[in-house]
Amino acid sequence: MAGVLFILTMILVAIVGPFIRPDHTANANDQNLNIAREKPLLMVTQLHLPKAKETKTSFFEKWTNYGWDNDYEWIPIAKCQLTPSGLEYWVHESSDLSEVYGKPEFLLFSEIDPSLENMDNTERWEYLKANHLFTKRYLLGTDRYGRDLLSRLMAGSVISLSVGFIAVLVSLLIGITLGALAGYYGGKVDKLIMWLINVIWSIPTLLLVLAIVFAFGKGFDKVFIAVGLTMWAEVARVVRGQVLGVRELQYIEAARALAYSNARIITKHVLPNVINPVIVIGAANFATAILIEAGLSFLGIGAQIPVPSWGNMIKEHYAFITTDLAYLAILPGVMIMLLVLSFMLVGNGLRDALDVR
Amino acid sequence: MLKYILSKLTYGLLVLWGVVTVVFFIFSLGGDPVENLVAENSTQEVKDAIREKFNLDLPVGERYLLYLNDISPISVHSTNESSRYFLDEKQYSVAASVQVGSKTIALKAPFLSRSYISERSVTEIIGDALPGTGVLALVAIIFAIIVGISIGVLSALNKDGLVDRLALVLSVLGMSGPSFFMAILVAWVGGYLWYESTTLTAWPVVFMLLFVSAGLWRNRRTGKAWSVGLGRLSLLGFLIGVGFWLMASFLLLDNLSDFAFHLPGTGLSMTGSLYDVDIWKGQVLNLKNLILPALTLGIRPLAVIVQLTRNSLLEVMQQDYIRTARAKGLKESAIIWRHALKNALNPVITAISGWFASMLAGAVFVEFVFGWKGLGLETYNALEKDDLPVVMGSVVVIASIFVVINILTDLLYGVIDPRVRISK
Repeated sequence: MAGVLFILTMILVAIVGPFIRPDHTANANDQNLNIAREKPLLMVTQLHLPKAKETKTSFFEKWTNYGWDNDYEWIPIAKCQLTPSGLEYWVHESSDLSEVYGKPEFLLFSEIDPSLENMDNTERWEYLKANHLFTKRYLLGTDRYGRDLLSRLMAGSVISLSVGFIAVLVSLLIGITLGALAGYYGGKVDKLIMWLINVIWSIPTLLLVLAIVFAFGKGFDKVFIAVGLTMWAEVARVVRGQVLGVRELQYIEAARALAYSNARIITKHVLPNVINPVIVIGAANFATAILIEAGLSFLGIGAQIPVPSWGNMIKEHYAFITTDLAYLAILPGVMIMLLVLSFMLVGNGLRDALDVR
Repeated sequence: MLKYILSKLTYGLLVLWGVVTVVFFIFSLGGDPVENLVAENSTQEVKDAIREKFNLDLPVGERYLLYLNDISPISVHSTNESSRYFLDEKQYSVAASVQVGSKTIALKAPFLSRSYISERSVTEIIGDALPGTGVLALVAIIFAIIVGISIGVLSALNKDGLVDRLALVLSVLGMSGPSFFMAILVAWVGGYLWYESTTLTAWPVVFMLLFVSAGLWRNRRTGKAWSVGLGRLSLLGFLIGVGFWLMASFLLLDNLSDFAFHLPGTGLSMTGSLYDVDIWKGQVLNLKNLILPALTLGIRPLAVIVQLTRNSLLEVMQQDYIRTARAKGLKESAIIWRHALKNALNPVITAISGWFASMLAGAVFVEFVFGWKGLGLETYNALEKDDLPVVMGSVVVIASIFVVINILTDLLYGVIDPRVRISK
């Protein structure tokens, strides 16, 4: 139950992604090295400056690009004060230096907002606070490039879930087709398909995926297909075994006697009766696919930077485990474990509910 | 029996051939690797020379034939020295060869081509790296078997008890952790947090052990099953240990540290290989480095073995012959160890034989994180450098090991259980 709940939450986070993330830029990639490696619950005052070129994106584009750019540039500031001609401010340095303000920087009013020029100081303050000075909270702090960790984690769910989803879809498609053919026709077809299953099964999944990624190039879109192409063997074996059992039953014989075509018997009469174990395996494969994707991204051949995947987030930060920033690598790992755990629990639940084996 | 062995062997060879073929064609889909290997401004001649050296100028079909010929222990070669099929003694390690007409038929070690980068023979590279991984995987699986079967038996005997629930939760957690993350965690905890003596007190653990041994002694005296109530006792001991420490720290506020009794540190390093290189002594065996990686690699099989042992033992304990043994008045320990476990371990053994080869593959992550010199790290490094023959070679080698182990287990089953010989 908890597993289902967690999976549904993750799916929701993945779908509405950019609209609920604190950092809505594409890939949650709003870097700022001045606030890199800050602790959780960080509060930063941002000074927003107008951007040279404004771009308009439609709602749909925001969703398909998985985020949209800020319509401003921003500087994290520690404190600021008004001068007659402009704004003097101190850039936010890492937290242990925040008391020691270095040299202030300076911006003319015209550079911030032209309308500031004709106001008096109190009006300027009010105007700046309303339009240019914002306080942003980083619930889980920032990563090594000053990105919001929470947003990265939320965006990472997309890769994991979509890899699982597509890989399972591909593996079911191939596995069910071949398994049903082998089980139903038997004889030479069966021998050939069983041989193929044994061959694929003999090459450890990780290495087969490595080989496929090596051949087609890096990137998570290849990982989708590669993982799917390796996991079908398990599905095919189970489907074949089930079909072998069902094939001899009387209702199939009856269907044959009615001169139904083989295709119709397989799709309409055999498959619906063997689908239960396939569902259970699908859940288990989902978990396996997530694990493999995370592993490949960790090795740097899955999702490529800056696309956030929990695996490559660990890769980026695992050098920090001997510092007090260890959570930067631990948290994504915990997310992977939770998601995999949920799918395994769901799989076990399904197995009990559908009474498989 | 002979027929059974022959048919198994033939099928195994057929599968091996399939594996080699699949691996070859996947890797040759990738296009021309030469562009990635040479400097950007190299001339066409340089590229062509490299292509010719590694047979990359031939069409795929011919390359495939050459590859098969190279990899097969019995191969056909040309006597013409300029031919690519020529049996070059410098390249191949030939055991025996016979000349038939214009061809040479040779018995040789499989030849897996040469590395694009270092130009060493791939067989040699893999031969150097394989022992490291083999030792690691072997120690890991032995650790997993011993601990896994013990915990599995314990939790089956305490079905639905505290130990059982704890073992179930831990084993599900162990299965859901990606191995690279587990490796990082183990390195972090074992090699960093716990490197030196801990800041936590060891009293709870001490009390837990005391209570458990007291429980064992009681069960022996009263003639109950040896494991009755141990889970509850260990929890009680733990809590009392915590309480003891808190009490002591309230009473003796000043010299709290005297009373803390810290656990000793592990003193293990976060990375390292089986052999350290010492400036004076050359290679030095460092068994301490084996502990953390083997522990990590063992976690997943451990989790699987615990569950398999538990479920299968529970099933066996329901059967009639166990009831008969009980009726004969056998001691509970004799029933479990001699009668039940023997039959319960069959599925566990099958699973272990399947696990060993996939552990060789899973070692990629563990070796990567711990910097352990083995096949996994070698494969990763080759992958980074686009060194195709090495990657291809290690995939073929690991898959072959898997196939060979499978054939051996099949044969073993045929010997142990005569029914298998007929049914297949």
